[in-house]
Amino acid sequence: MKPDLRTLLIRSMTTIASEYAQSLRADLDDKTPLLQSGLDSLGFAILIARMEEQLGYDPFTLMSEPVYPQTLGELVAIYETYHPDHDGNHG
Amino acid sequence: MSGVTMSLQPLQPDDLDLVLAWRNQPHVRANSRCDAVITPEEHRRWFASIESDARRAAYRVDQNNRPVGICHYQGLQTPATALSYYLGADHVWPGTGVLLQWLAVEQAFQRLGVRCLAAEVLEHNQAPQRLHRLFAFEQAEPGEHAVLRFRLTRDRWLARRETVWNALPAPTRAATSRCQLWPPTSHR
Repeated sequence: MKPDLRTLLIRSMTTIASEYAQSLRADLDDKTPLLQSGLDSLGFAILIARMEEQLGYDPFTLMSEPVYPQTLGELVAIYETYHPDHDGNHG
Repeated sequence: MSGVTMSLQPLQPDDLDLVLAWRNQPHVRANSRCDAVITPEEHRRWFASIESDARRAAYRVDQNNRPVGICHYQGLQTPATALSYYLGADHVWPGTGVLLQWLAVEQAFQRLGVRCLAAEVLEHNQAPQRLHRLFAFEQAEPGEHAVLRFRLTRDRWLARRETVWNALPAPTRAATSRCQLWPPTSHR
């Protein structure tokens, strides 16, 4: 069953921000640009690593053509698209 | 399957319009010592000064063959070389700033013969401060008001490089093997 990836991402971002003394925006939504989320580049690098540990995949290494996110909604969509249970990703 | 790639290309006249747009973005200006809007004429003079000065070098940073930022060195062949860089594009691999820092430091010490890399960061700009500390920069004597100074010698980098690499998150560590300096192969 596919987990709620948006919740998982935001929870992980919150944890990383807390660990690294960063101030995550309280009003995060799908339209929030990642560069304005309050998490810095190191924070996102850690996020990608932790998501792979939790989910078992890194969508950015599965892409045949690189598509990089500008907003939180785009980041969520990338994780959903490459989730093993996503339509089209079976077999 | 693929992965993020990063490379450096010498800055060319064809890049200038894009770079001017980047330099004038609010988030870039907010983290620069001079936050005034840069005019096209000032921008051309800036580029001409780089081209005519052997002690300066500027590179366009590409990600998967798409321009995403700039890396600039000032004071090459002197005891301390000033480093500055920024990301201009917003659709980038999450964690690109860390890779850009890796690329900038490696270019300095592996290709440009830098002895000591110096970086200035505005006090409010926390992200590069975290990166400099992660990359074994030492905080130097305080600069003018609200400016922090960092330095990294070649010897210190060579001694700490592996430790720094091991401290990077795993996907970033893997991506460093896909970072290409300029020129791509050292001729030394």
